[in-house]
Amino acid sequence: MWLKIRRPDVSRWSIRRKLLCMTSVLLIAVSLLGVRASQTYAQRSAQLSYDRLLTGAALQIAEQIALRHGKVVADLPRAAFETLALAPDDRVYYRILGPDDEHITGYDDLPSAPATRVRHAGSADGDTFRKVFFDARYRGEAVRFVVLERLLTETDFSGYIQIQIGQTTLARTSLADEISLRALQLIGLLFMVALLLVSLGIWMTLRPLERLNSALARRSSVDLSPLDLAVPREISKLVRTINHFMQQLGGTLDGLQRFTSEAAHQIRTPLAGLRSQAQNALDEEDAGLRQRQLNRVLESADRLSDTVNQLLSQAVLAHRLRSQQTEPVALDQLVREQCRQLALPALEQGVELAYDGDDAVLLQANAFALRQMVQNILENAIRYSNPGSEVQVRLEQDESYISLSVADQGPGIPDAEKPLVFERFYRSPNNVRTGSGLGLAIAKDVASYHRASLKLTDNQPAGLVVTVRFHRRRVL
Amino acid sequence: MRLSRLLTGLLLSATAAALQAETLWALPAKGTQASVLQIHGGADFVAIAPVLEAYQRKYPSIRVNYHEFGTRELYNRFLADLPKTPDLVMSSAMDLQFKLVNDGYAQPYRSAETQALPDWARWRNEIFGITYEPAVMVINSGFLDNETLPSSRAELIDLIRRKGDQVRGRIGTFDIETVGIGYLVWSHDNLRTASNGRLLESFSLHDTQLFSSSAAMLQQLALGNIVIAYNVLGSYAHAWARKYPVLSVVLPSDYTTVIMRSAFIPRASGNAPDAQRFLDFMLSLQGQQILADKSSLYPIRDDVSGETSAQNLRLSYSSPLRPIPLGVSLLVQTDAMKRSLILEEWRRAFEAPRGPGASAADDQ
Repeated sequence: MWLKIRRPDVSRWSIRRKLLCMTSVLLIAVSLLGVRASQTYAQRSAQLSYDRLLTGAALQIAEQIALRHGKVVADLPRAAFETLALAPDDRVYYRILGPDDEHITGYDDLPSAPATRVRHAGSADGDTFRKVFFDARYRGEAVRFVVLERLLTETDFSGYIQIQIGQTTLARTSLADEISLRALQLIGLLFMVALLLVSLGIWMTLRPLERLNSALARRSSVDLSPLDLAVPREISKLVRTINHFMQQLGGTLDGLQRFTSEAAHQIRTPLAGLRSQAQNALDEEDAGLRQRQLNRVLESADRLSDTVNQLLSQAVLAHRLRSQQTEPVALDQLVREQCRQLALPALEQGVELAYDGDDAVLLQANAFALRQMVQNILENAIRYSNPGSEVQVRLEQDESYISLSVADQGPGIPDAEKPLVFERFYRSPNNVRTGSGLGLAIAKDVASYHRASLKLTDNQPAGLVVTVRFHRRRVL
Repeated sequence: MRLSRLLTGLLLSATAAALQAETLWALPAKGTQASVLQIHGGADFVAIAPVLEAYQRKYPSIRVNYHEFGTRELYNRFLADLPKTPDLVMSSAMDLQFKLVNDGYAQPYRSAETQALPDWARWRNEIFGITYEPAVMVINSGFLDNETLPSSRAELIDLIRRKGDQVRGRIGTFDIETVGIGYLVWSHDNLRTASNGRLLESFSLHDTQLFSSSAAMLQQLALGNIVIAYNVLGSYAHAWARKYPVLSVVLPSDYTTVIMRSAFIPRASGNAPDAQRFLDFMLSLQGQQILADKSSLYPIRDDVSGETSAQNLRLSYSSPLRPIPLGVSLLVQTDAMKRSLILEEWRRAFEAPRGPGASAADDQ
């Protein structure tokens, strides 16, 4: 049976937890190193201290060794053993060997020093004393030994006297334990203090985030005014981003509100007109007049339906622009297709649609929006053309620009009105044709979304040219 | 006499040399015998008997075999008999006792009684001081002619010089070659102070007699055959002084060396529990009180009352008491070469001027 081990999702941990974990791991690692180092240090310093006692005792004994009547005589000084008694509970063993390892006094079964070490240790400096330390087991206990050699020279004698002293290791072990216990206590204390400081630091670091959170939580859902909080630099970026986001959201909401009220107005007024026209037709007794009135009702209904269509398509467009990614679009195909679709309705109106353009015009764009824009511009041109005239569509590209121009031979737009036609629901006062007043506004929105410029110029001898120019590089 | 009731044991072996002597005092259990406690002791049986008797009253099922030796013989026998050991070893020869313990022959024991001992009276919880014995001088004041008693070693040397022929051949001390306590105290003083040399010179000039036991020395002192006894154990001295008022006990005011009778339980003891009980009993208030009251030994505990108690000793004498501590410096005295150097000096002092009638009375 397989066990599924669920790995904790580290990326969802709280920052506090992550920081605490990391610092704890670091602190523990450092502390362990410290403990190890302090134990080594404790052992070394205890070893050193008690080795000095051993050396001291051996030197004191060495001083009391002399030749008497050609014999080596060791007159053990009590002081040497009082030195050793500074480790009060440790057993002491000793022996003194003359030249050729002749036993002079002391324990005759002590372990010898590792042979190679005695002869070479410290012999280079020509000192009269040479010494070596070693550990061995003796009588069932761990014993630390020193072997001290002294060159004994008299007129008729010269040879090395060896003094060996051993001491059990109770005192040095307990000293080492004591030192490392102290170190351990200190390290433990430092660990706790460090952990406390780190926790405090983390708390202080994260407090601005908490403040930001509670400031946001306290807000009403419609309050989109910028946050004003004193926060560290790292977090002020976040606050700026939030403020920017809220500002955009506010703009969007404002636009939506404006659009809704305008749309309501634009629908309510024609509806009221429609209703009164229908009422008039009902009341009219003369059949010819009633027919005319009913025709007007139909016309109004067409215009209203046009308006509603435009409003809906604008809403869809706005949504698409916000939600959809751009894709490579063959603009020449798209324009040709739109021309083909509108050629027939144009002919019904007595308007001819001519297309002239380069092939393979590729563009990174939102196809739906572009189609909407092209359709609006073409419809607009057809609508304002006189019967028997021509609408010319051109598509050109060079290295840096793609430009689409639609020229009609209609009445054109006076220069003073040109900037106004992009506003929603603007209708020229001299305009008698049907139209919602939204077509160019939508085209302008799509063009700005693609960072293209949309320009209105006069056609010769009369008419309007709409030119959309895309920057090749700057297109999304 | 009370002792005679106890002495059901017999002199088991008396070999040719007196030092080889071993005396067995067998004390059968007061009730049904359940175990046997083997004790090797360097103390006179007479001195330790009251404690043994009280111990057996408290634990009636234990039979005690008390083997008495000279202190040096006790040491040699311990090593010779290995790996067989007794259950408890008691002796006043601290140096030899300590050497055995240092060499790992003792087992540790901790109890409330052992922990109550002062630091210098125990070592590694393996060896324990039981009694507290000052080494004193005893003067037969009959010969002083109303002169004040010498209170220090310097005054003693001065007195000997002034009296000259009056004290010649009438000074007694231990023969340190044969008496363990004698060697212990003398060698300790030798290592601690320089004035010992002057004392030795003075002794050798005045044909000092060497004794191998306190009893023999004090007897000669009571009889007036000698007038000064040096380095006698205080407990014996006080006992004799009570009997013979002419004897005055002096604790030297320069310093008074104090030795301890000590005990340890050998590692290979076959009956450690009884040995531990006996050790605890000796260190208990009851045991120490018996030592003080009936054996005239100075108990080591501070809280025991009576004439011979450590407390009384500290309070009633102005002399500085210097206990020989149980510690590794005792090893110096056990060193064979050191011992031969000390004995050599001792012999040199006594060989040349040795006069007639100065030979040691060997009555152990």
